[in-house]
Amino acid sequence: MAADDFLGAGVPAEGMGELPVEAWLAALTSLPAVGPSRLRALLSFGSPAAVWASLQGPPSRELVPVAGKQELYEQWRRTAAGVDVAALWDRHRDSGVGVAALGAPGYPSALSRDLDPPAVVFHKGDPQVVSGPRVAIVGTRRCTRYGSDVAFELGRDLASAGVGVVSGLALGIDAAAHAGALEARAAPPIAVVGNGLDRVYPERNRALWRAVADQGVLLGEAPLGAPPERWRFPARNRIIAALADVVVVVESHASGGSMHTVAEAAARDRAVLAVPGPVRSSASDGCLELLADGCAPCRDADDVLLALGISGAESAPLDSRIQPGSIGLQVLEALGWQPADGEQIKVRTGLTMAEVAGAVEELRAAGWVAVSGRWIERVGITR
Amino acid sequence: MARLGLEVAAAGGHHLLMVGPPGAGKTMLARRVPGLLPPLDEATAIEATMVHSAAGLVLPSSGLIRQAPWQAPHHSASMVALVGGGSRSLRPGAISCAHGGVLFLDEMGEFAPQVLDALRQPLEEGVIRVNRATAAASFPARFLLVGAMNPCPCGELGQPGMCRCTPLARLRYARRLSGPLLDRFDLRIHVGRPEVSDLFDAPPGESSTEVRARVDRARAAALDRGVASNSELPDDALDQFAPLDSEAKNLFSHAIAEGRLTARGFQRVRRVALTLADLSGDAPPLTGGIVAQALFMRTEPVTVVHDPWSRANGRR
Repeated sequence: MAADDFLGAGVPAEGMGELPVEAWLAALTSLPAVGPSRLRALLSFGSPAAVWASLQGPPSRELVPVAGKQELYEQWRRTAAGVDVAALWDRHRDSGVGVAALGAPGYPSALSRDLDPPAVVFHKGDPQVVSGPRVAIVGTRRCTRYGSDVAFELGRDLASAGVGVVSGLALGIDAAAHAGALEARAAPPIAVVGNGLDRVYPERNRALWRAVADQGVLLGEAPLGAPPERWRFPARNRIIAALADVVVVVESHASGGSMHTVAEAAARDRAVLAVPGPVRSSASDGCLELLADGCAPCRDADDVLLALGISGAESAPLDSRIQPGSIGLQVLEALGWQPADGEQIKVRTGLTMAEVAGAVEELRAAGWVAVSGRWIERVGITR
Repeated sequence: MARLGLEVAAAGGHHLLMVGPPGAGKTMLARRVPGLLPPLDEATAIEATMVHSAAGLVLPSSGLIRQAPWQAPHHSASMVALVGGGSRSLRPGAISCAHGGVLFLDEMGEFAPQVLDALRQPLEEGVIRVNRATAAASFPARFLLVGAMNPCPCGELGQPGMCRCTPLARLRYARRLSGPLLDRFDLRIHVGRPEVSDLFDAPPGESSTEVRARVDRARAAALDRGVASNSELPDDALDQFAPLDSEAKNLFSHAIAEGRLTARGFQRVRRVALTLADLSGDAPPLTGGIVAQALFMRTEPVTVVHDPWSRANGRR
């Protein structure tokens, strides 16, 4: 049955008739190991409230195949016996997290037409911002400074051009793309997360998480309290692909979540663009693979706008950094666009360690390079 | 770079952290430090001899310990083994046996955190007080701390994009060294990747004697300022002995604004810069070049993935 059908479907007795369908959906999603496919399978047996009631009633054979294992089914029954749906629902309302069932007002229309629409969406912030053109900027958590800078610039320039930036709020590329989009103070950012909206994950992105909720929207299909379990992230990636008109991969290792997002985008006929990187950089392996397979390259926001069919991005601002001196230029030249350490620069330039150290510190102060641990990386953006 | 680090550590009494993969020669480098240190002065020699005798260590035939001692406790060492104690009789720990010399902690990340944190107070005061139910004792513990650790769990040196460790794994690894303890290391040097120039056209490596001569000169300059080494200079003496030129001021204010340096960190880097100037025989004020070197010798030990949002909003 189509998921819309259960809107307004009868709710069992027990005097909880006033609870909306979203409350029962939240209860079902909070059962252990219930992701989109198990939820869909459960809902083929009846309305959310009816399924919940059957979990609380006498054991039935028909739900066991959905769980796959007898133990999981027993676990569901035990959990269902202990969960107070009305209290769970109150908790959602009190925390300021919105819940929308498929087909209900407030459910992002971009998702309702998807191949595999979530039966229920949780959101924090304004879900109305999911309108207009959208681009997903995705990539690895283990990124280089180059990738982080490119993601930041793309996020900033696309948001300035009125394009909603969709990403997953992970460390690395995701965080840089959101930070760029926030910096533009233009089109609101859209973050799709894998865990419950009351839990910040990863912890390091707490401030970013709050800023995205304030200026844009956080979306997910996991109820409050859901931990960031591994299996939730591939499901999250499909929503990112579903929301985006174009997917840009900034840096990706040969395998990883971004490549999964690309597969989901391909299944939906979305254009995928990949940012080229050095052929020796493991963080660009995935992107180079995509480019070799014929995926279009993304050099800047204009390439993305072209893929979206929008034109007229503003030209990049002039570089306002102080021009480095002659030793500084020598070091920049020797550094190139791949990480190097002080010893390597010393060997490449023939400078003394003291000269290298002095030049690196001055370049760092002027914003030309960044140093993290032993590694020195060239910085491309002007901020 | 690593050699310069050793020289600066010995000359200025600045604690040194070496970060590099296993086999990079961190231990070998650290072993050279006692040889660069000046012989112990009379008072320290007597204190060191007393401690060694109390610890039951073999004393030199001359009776008095004159050479800077070397202690390298294994990372499985207990708190008592490191700082002293014991239930029947109070015995000095490794930090007191290193009095006047070098305490080398290899694989710092593997030491129990509470054992490492016990170092903070003696590092500050030069003395360790051990209290037990039946007795209490003070042992001298003025030592040069030389630490060594790996850059990350996977061994790819944390190279951005190459290292297989997740950002969180790297952060967790970095946190094994508590912030306050890390802050005591004025010199944080990355070693590893055999230094090409050292392997081939080695400018037949300066002899220890030449390095010792420079170290002695720097130590003599410190004595003129009334301290045994620059690391002991009080903050208020720095304005007098280590004035900054305008370029040096710019570098410092940038590093402070960026959140790389605290007020205390600023003074510590300034002491290192003063030692660098002493070694090269530069007269004050400290120049931008010298300060840049000192800053470069105090990098974060572990690579962290760039995070533009926190950077822009004042978090590290």
